[in-house]
Amino acid sequence: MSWKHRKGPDMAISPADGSYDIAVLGAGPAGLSAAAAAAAQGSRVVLIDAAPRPGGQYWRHRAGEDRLPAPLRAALEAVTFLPSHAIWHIERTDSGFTIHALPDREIDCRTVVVATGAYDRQLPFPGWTLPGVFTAGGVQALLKGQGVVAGNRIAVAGTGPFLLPVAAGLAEAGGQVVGVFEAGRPTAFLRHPLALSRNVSKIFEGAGYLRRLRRYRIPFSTRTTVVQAHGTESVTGVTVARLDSNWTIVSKRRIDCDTVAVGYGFTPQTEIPRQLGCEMVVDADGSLCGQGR
Amino acid sequence: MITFSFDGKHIEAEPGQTVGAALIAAGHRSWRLTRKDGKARGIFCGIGVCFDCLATISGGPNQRACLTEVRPGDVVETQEGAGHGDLAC
Repeated sequence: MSWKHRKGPDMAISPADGSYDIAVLGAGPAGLSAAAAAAAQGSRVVLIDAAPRPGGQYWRHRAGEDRLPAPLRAALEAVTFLPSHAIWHIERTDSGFTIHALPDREIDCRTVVVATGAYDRQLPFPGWTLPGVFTAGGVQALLKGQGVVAGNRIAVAGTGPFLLPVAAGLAEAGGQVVGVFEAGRPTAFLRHPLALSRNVSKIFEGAGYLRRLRRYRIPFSTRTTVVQAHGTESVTGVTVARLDSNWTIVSKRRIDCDTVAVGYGFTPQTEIPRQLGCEMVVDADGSLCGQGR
Repeated sequence: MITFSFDGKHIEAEPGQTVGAALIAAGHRSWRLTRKDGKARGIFCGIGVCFDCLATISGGPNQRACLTEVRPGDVVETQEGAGHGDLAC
């Protein structure tokens, strides 16, 4: 186990270089579970992640905290864990794969399990590259993983239920959330009884977040989103637009803020399966997904 | 707290904090200038995906500030362009 690995050019090559039965790429819930299951069957497993701590985005935690379920924490003892390692190339070999990672590692394995997760889908808009515009996931990562509130007056925009815990968390940590702007109409799925019946717990979870928003008097608008960020060196405000059912702009207004947290759901991180030549498919939500070998 | 420098200024970070988070907490938002237009960039995705937050950290250019944990005495500099200006002749 190598918890204390620090990223840096001075790090010596350790026994982690070498040959494994299975390399699991990504130490989020899926990767940790895969590594635990493989190790339990007696496989020699290496688990690689770009972040300094295990848990991925879902179990993101601050240094010194521990949010992993105990069985997965215990399973880490049975694998070689390489945090703070960026995979830049994987090549196929006669016996499997060679993984090239920074800093300075070459790892041979017979099987690769890709568990690289997802990141915020973005719809670019004028001003989206200004400092102060973050992904919703980035703002959440700063808060959960680093204890840092990304700004003072924050607009949260995009689509999907993830916006709600982001806004609630910011408010509870002392940020002023000027509004949650949801481009879709989240109640549309209520007309689909099957989806409704399968997701009752999610509805209660969503209601809980909405109560937290009300407690902090955070305005929640549907069919509304941020269409422009203003400022020269950093964000000084946004233009928020009301949308019709085709997402055509109906009206606009300007809101002063210094920070934007924006995300339109999530899309899988597919660089590795694409590099390996895996067959790719477009999912129902338009995301590119890996399929097959 | 541990300390590091950013463009000559002293910055404090909590142990385990990333360079990017410590800079945001200290009120800084950008630490890179784009190659073509010299536009300011800082954290965008915050999880190591977008490479917008690249900085020169203790002499090494193109380090993702959102993933790189602060080490005591780190020297963080605003990265201009690709960070290899020293190679220009």
